[in-house]
Amino acid sequence: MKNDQDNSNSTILVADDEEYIVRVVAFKLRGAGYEVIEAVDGEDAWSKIREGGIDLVLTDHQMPFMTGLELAGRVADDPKTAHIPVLMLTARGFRLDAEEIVASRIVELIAKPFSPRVLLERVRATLAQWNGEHGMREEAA
Amino acid sequence: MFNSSWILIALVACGLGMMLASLHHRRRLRMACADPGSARRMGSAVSDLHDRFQLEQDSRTEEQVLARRIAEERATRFERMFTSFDDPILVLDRHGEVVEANPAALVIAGLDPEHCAVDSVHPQPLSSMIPNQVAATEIHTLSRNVMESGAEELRRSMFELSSDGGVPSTRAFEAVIRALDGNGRTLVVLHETTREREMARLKSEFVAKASHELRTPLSSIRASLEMLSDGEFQNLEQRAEFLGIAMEETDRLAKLVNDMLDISCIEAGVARPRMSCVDLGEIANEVVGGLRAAAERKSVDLRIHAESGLVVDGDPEMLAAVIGNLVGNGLKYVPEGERVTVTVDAEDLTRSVVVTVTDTGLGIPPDDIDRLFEKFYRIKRYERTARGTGLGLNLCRNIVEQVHQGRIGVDSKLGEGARFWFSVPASHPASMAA
Repeated sequence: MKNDQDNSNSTILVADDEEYIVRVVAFKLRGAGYEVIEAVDGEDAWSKIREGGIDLVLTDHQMPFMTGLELAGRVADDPKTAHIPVLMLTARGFRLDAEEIVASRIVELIAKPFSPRVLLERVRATLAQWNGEHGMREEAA
Repeated sequence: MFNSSWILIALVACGLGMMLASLHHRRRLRMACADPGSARRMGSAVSDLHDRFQLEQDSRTEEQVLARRIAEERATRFERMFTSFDDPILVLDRHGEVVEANPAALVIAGLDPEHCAVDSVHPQPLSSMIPNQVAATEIHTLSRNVMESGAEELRRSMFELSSDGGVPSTRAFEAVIRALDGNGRTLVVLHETTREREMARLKSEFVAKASHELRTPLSSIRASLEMLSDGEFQNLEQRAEFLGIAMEETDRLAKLVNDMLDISCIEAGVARPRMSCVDLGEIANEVVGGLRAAAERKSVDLRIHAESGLVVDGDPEMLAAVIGNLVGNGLKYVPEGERVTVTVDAEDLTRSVVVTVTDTGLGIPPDDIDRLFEKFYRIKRYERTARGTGLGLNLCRNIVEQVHQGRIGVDSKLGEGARFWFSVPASHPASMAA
């Protein structure tokens, strides 16, 4: 099933240490036509992002070795990956530090438990917006 | 003549009486007044007056002495109470200067109570007594408000002080300020709230972790059900896969809630264990029997060496849960082909029964060993190896230590497997016979 959006050929990296969450999210995104790369923790995710070809990162926050916030910070700080938007799923019981979120330049926080339908909408909207801005910048250049 | 002599006698008697009264005790006065015949009645009346006066005088003196003694004793008692209070107490004058400070207050000011006194002759500015300038200013303002309002008032202020001795921690205080007298003095009692704050912090941390642990399985369940409801699955196989996830996660959620309830009941002291004579060897055999299929599925060699007749006073279900948790962890975390061995022995020295669960797995990193029994603590390295509630070992510790007054622990070296053990006091021989 291909989606009718412009970004249907995008590749999304899904990072979560909870195997079932990755399976559910990956199934939903693949069903919508996206290419999905799975990562089991923050470090695994970072090494896969650096290999290239990722258009969007969807990560959990609480993961071993590297949290979602740290991962997003690295993505934003590295010129090779800074263009990749990061969406974060979080099941933490307390509010994340606002300054940390700003510093990590996370595009959107999605609270667990989440709706896969809403998650897909947010992924589509983010990619559309990102590609639009990117495209405009390229045209301007 | 009769009249004039009568008057004279009376005057003499009276003058004599008064003179004697000033010099002698009333018994002697009576004797002196006994002679003059008809003057007796008059003299006696004067004497009685004097007696009453003297009595009042004496009793008033006695009362005063007594009152002074009571006041002195009271002052000493209050002085002791003031100095022995663990809470720092300050008295401020109308200018906001400290005119009394108990030793606890001197200590937080960094002064030596043995060699330092604060009184109205040597008042100290509040800012030198409370080493937190923001708090000192606030307390100064509050005490002025209390003083100006006239009536006794209570004002509270929360603040922190760095603890001395270079320990990187802070002490939290709550200041209670009351009007003390009509001269504008106020009483400031600093109540330490560090422990309450720490308890609140731990509670909030637990709630945050519990919330994370509860939301995670809930996410998989909700997502699977939504996709099922949206008709996302193309075939029965996919449908079965995601229904399986939802069911497994529901079980995980239920176990998590049960573990949380069990732990909180034990911690709050409201758990009602059903204590009886329990043969730990027998229980261990039953538990191992129940886990044999799981061990075979994972190709783990599960062994047991348990003597029978090793009896303890305990709750059989709770002790079975402890053994089940320890053996279950062994099976979950050891790689295929490894071994998990359960032994039940008597330990004569401590008169207890010891259960050990030894595995030939990967071992536990030294940094993790001390924290392994904490709620929701997980070894990062093995986080993906197995799924659990993160509460199993904490529940074991609560059951063993709180309910059975036993001990629980683990010995391990990375790469050399792990040995979990717990010991419970052996039953008294009389109860063993019963």
